[in-house]
Amino acid sequence: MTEKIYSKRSFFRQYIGSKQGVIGAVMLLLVIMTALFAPWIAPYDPYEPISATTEDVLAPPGPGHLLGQDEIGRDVFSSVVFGARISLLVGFAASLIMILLGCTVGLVSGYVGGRLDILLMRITDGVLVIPSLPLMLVIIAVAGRGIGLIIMVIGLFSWPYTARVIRAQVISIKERQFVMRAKAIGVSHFGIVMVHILPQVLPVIFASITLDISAAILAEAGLSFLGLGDPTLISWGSMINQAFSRGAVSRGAWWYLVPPGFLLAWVTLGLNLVSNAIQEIVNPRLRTHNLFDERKILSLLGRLRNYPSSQGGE
Amino acid sequence: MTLLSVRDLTVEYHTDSGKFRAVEGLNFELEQCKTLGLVGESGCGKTTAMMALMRLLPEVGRIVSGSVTLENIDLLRIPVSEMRKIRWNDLSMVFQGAMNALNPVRTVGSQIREALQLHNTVSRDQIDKEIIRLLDIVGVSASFKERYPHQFSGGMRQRAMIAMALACKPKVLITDEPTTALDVMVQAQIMDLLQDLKSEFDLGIIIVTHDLGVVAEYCDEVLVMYGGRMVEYGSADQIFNHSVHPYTQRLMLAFPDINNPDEELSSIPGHPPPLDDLPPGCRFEPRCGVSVSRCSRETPGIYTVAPGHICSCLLATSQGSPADE
Repeated sequence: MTEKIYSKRSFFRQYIGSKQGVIGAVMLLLVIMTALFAPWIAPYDPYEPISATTEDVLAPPGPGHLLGQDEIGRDVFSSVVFGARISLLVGFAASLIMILLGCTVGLVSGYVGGRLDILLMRITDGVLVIPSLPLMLVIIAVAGRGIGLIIMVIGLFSWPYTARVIRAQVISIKERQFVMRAKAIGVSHFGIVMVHILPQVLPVIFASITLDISAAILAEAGLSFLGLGDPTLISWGSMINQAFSRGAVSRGAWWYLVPPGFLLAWVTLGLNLVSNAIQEIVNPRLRTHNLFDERKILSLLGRLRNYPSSQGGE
Repeated sequence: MTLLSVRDLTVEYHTDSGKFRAVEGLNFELEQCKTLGLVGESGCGKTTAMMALMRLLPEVGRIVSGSVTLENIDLLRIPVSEMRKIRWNDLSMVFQGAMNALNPVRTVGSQIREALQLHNTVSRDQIDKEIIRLLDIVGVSASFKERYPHQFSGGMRQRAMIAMALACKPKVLITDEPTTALDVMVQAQIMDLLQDLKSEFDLGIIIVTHDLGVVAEYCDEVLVMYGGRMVEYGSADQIFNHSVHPYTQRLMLAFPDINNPDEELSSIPGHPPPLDDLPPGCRFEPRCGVSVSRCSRETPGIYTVAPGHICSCLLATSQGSPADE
């Protein structure tokens, strides 16, 4: 048993062992599944034109409509389910652009240093100081309000923060002695970056992924709120926007406002839990110490867990 | 048989605030199965000299002149790609501070594997066995292969570093302060281990250290450095019992004598000279108690005191050397 604890466990098995990791993954998976199987989950198709009566306008939750109806009589539950597709798509796609760009710039800039570093960092600063929201508004207003363009614009204007954080990490790590040792052993520059530096930066990358995804989802919500979202699609952001602008607040129609807002928070929380769990695996120093090893921690936890039940049995 | 010979090695650091000579005109030779001790205060250029040998100086460091000959190859004149092969295969190093020289997020085994793989020391399917064998040589049990550096104690980390340095069967092993920050029991174990390995693998070992006790017990030859220069070089017996240079003598006085435990230790007042403001003559002159007026003007040459025992002190030339006082 104890031998097994020290044997190399797969990333998956370690992840399964983490409580917050499992909870976060389940939270995220629920939303992702909802997005994937939206047509089967949603009772109505929110993109379908409907004929509504006055009773349907902002009708409260009832038997036919789990989360009530919106200002034109659509089923809110169906909108939220379909909205997950767009919000997640924007979140993941834009954060992918941010991470790829930010990681490449950060790693190269930090590791190579010198003139290249200065050049890349001035470009980064340039993008960083541009007030991105007005510029996004201008670009989208001029070039059109397609979902692809929204993803590109969010991704291309949000990577500098990631790049700076990663560069700072790389600079501090590359001066460490184990990098020198790796160099002495004969590891190539590419090998040093990929094998010795990148794994140490991963916790930071995972932390920024979660921030980036929620930032992208919120940026899309912001654009939609300002009326510049893709008008043909329903996202959580555009739902909040419509709820806000079409009088849901004044009429107390909480069932229109709360579900998209709650899901935004739900996704962000899930992402954070997943990120924490991954960090613990990637950075083994968070787990054990040579004087207080896993075995002791585990046996202690076991004793704590058994304590109340053995008390109860007596 | 001479394994490694260093001639007139001079290293400079070119920084924003000027040019510093960290090592100047260093000469020494290392024989097979022998241990050379490199001693001196902090900042006297010991580590810089060793890094220059490995050609691993930081970007600001430049080797200005000199040659490092290992088996008829001048390491300072071969292309980087050649040097990459020689490093670890022929010349390897146990870096200062074993904790920092191990990547904290990778298992110790995987870091030893790196050296074996890159230098094709053993065939792919033998690598795991070889890692276990190497760990066994340094007295670390095989189950520790999959553990992380932070799960190792200080002495075990040092052993793992030695195992890593031995991975490609080098001829010369440089150990930079191998016993610093370890307790005396572990120090003795590590030094005994190095001693055993020396005879087992016919290694030439260079030990960079502050610890004169280590030098006295384990080194065949000793090189004393001060302010980037060699001050005295000879066999351990010559350095410990017949030292000529005032700096070496003061260094010995600063170390407790087991035969005379009541004697008070004397420190050397002052600090080593800053490298950007070196005294014009002998570098030890401002702190030397027995200097004469010439010392502050003339740079001492190198004088032979006895066969195999050289010294860089103006007073050593006169018959009444300061050793008699």
